[in-house]
Amino acid sequence: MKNIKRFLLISLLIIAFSGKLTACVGHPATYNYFLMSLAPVNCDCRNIDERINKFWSEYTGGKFNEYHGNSTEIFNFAKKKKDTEMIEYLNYLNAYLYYGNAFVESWDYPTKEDLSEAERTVKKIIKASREYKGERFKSQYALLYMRANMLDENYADMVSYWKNKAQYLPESVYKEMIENYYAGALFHLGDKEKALNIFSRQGDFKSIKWCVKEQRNLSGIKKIYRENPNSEALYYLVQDFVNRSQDAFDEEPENEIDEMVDKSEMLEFISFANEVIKENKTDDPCLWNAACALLYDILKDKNNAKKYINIALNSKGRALTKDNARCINLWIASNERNLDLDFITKELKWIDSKIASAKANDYYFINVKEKVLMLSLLPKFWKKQNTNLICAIEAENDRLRFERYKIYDTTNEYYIYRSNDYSYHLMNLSAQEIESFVYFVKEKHNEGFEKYICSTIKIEDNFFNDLIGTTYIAQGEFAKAIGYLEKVPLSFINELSVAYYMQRRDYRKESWFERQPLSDDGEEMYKLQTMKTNCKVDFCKEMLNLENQFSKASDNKEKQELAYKLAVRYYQASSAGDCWFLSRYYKPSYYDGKDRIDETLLQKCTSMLNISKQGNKELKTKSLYALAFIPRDNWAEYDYNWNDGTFTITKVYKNSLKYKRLNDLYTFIQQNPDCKTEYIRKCDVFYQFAKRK
Amino acid sequence: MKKRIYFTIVCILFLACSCSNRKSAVTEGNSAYYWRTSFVLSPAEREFIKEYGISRLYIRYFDVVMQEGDAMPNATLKFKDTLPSSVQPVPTVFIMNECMQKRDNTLANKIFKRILQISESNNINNVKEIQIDCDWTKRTEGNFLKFMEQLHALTQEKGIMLSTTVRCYQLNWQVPKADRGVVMMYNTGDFRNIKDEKPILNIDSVGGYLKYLKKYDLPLTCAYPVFKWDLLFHKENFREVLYTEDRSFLFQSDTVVRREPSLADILKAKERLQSIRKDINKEIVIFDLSDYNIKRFKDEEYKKIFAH
Repeated sequence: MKNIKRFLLISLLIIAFSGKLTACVGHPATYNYFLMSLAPVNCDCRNIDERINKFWSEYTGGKFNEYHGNSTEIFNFAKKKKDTEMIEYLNYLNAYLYYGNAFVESWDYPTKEDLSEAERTVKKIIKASREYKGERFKSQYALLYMRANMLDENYADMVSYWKNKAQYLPESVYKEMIENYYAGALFHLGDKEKALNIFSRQGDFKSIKWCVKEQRNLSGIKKIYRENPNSEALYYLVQDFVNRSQDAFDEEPENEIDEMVDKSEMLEFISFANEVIKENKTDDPCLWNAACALLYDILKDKNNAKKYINIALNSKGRALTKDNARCINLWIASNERNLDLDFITKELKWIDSKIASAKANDYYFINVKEKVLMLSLLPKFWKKQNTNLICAIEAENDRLRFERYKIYDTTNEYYIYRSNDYSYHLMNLSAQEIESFVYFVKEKHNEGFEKYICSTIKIEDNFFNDLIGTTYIAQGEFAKAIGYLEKVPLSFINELSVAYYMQRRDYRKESWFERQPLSDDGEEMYKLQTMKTNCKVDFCKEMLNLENQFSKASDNKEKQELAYKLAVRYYQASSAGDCWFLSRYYKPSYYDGKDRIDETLLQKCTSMLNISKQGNKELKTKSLYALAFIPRDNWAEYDYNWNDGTFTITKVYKNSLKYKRLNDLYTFIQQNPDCKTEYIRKCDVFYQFAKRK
Repeated sequence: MKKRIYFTIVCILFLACSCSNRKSAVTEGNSAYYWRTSFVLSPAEREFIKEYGISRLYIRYFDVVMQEGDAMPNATLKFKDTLPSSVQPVPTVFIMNECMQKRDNTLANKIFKRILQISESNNINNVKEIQIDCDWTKRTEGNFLKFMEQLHALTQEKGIMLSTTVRCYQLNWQVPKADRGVVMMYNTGDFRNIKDEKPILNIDSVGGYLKYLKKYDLPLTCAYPVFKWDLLFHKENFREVLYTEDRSFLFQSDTVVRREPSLADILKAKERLQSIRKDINKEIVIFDLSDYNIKRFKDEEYKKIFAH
């Protein structure tokens, strides 16, 4: 629950400042993730650091959990323990780490002395490691031996050391690293295939990528296959080829043209994959069939995509390949015209189980689910105008984003929600639609997709009560709004990002005479606010009271004065007013004329001003001025003179609403010069208009 | 009037100084680029150096690339051999254009310091000149010119000459602050285009730039290509440059085309350039020294290439 609330607050915060964030948030998510993930190159699936740090943590009794280069803390710890064997080992380790750096690319190139010292030290480490006779640090010294020899480029020595000694060491993270260095030496000596097999067995896809960097095309795949039809590198290469094919068909501008795979090569890959399957030398025909299916899918050949994925699902293959095939099958099925929602539901549940057991940083299954939800299912429900299911899918998508965030990085919360479709969508629904969605999520469903998707959504009551109440304000239905808003505790309101504005702005002020500017970058903005009452509730009560008085008023003067008061408040609560937070969670940075929220409130405002303008001269002047102030269409085009800071009107739009309203005011002032009050005299727009007349 | 005379004298003095500087920057003889990551000369390469009197070797010390937002050295040369005593080394640094996208006033000093340190640590003595190779463009022009100005001030302090490579398209842009330049007379075409049969050197395709050669305000020599490219095309689409001789992985529809300048291409370019700038071939530079490249031409052909 706490997490959900945090997410909602974050969502609101981001939306509230969407105008400010636009410049840095970039594109909305495309959800067009890769569907093949057999060799997670960027995933540290081997957890080397973690496993090594465990040793240091155990040695220091949990006092130090990792070993930094030349770590003095652990050295001092060993000294205090009078652990001479450890001290000696650390001396060599630190020397390696220090002189190893002399070979690293940095601006400080080593001096001649440093280079000779480094060479001497490397030789010393090699000698000490070879001569170590103890048992306790046998593996660590063996690793030092390999590392030092790698620096010295003694690849042949490394190979024979592994063969004669290191391979007999007990299993440990050190032995795994030693073997990794051994594979590196093999690679340098030209035995690429053997090296590849070791890297593959260890899941070291970074090294695999390096080994086959010149084979990342169909020719390379063919070459590796010919050398070994079951080479581990093929998993990386096939994945790379298929995913790059997808890239080639995406429209992301950052894709490098020369890395793209074109259609003819994709077809040629398929023909090669068929040869591979026919030759029957591969232990994983599922891999090749799944790759063909996905390539056909990218090429929009749905029939062949279905044909190949069915073969893939029934072919033998590794567990991960089979999982990939199942995900690809789900993707293809979700794009069918006649959607089998029961099947989709079953498969989504299976993906959920995979997400639950996924390793850290492995987002494959989350990606697949997001892609299926957002790119396949969502457009279908949009087509059917099924608002409840649209919101439900978006809600689940947001939950997944949070899931990803939770298991990954706790510092980038702003960026996680940069494209919050769910929140944007909710805030553009009518209050009745949101009520319907909440009911839909809470009601009991029969087995099937609706039950499944609703089971994933948590309805946070405070958030939804505030949202529905706020939307009712936007619709001008204040009695209904109060019913929801009164349920929202102040603690929730004070945490809202819009609370900063709520606490500081007054909806009774006439927007056309007085704006209420607030700094957008002060620390105050991010502090917890301290409102004692919910101003949305206060507003609704006041509006109900005024509307009630207005409807009962029989005296024209009273009615006109009440109408003006109401107009002031309707305008303030619209997106154009300073109290926009009464009807929404963000202030739009521009007006596109299609805002349903503004239509209601601004229409009400205008009709009230049309009544108040019938009043006495003072009220009439204010009302005509307000009516001229409200329209946001252009009445003229200007040229700005940078030299003297003046404007010159170049074109006038006489049919614009603004022009007509300004003209009404102008005519009235012409006929009643005594009404040319100070605010009219100071109004530069009116001045320009009058000058033009 | 007095003022005008004084100004004229200053101008004459200035021109005289600059001319004498430029004159001393004119180089002669035969040279080659060494463009690998380990410095080891094979017996054939040593023989080539001796045979053709290669007296200057432009040795790529390291590249400068962008890493996590900072310009960093990369692929630093490892010295595993000594330099023949007859050869004057010219440490050369290739800077990727992206490093010039932001102004870094510390870069010149970092590069110069590192060049000197590499030379000292690896017993490369007698460094009289260093060279900067950068594929800078109009967009990075300002930063590159500033960088060269800063580097030039540093090299002058130490009495070391600063040279720059000049790509053909850079000929009509501003001249960077340097003592001399080496025109890279290669990569004149588009190697990705299968129809471009002479992408490495086709003097006719850079004719438009050559009109700026005469007035280019630096002493210039020229580097001529002796290398080849094996290019893999799938149908007409460029795939990659092949660096090995292994062709077993090709498809029937794949084509490997070899692009290499012929002797005639090189001699034609030499002649054309000399007709525009008489002193441009006083020093002949080849790109680059390698066992393969030195076998590409026969002895009498190399003699023609190196003829001054």
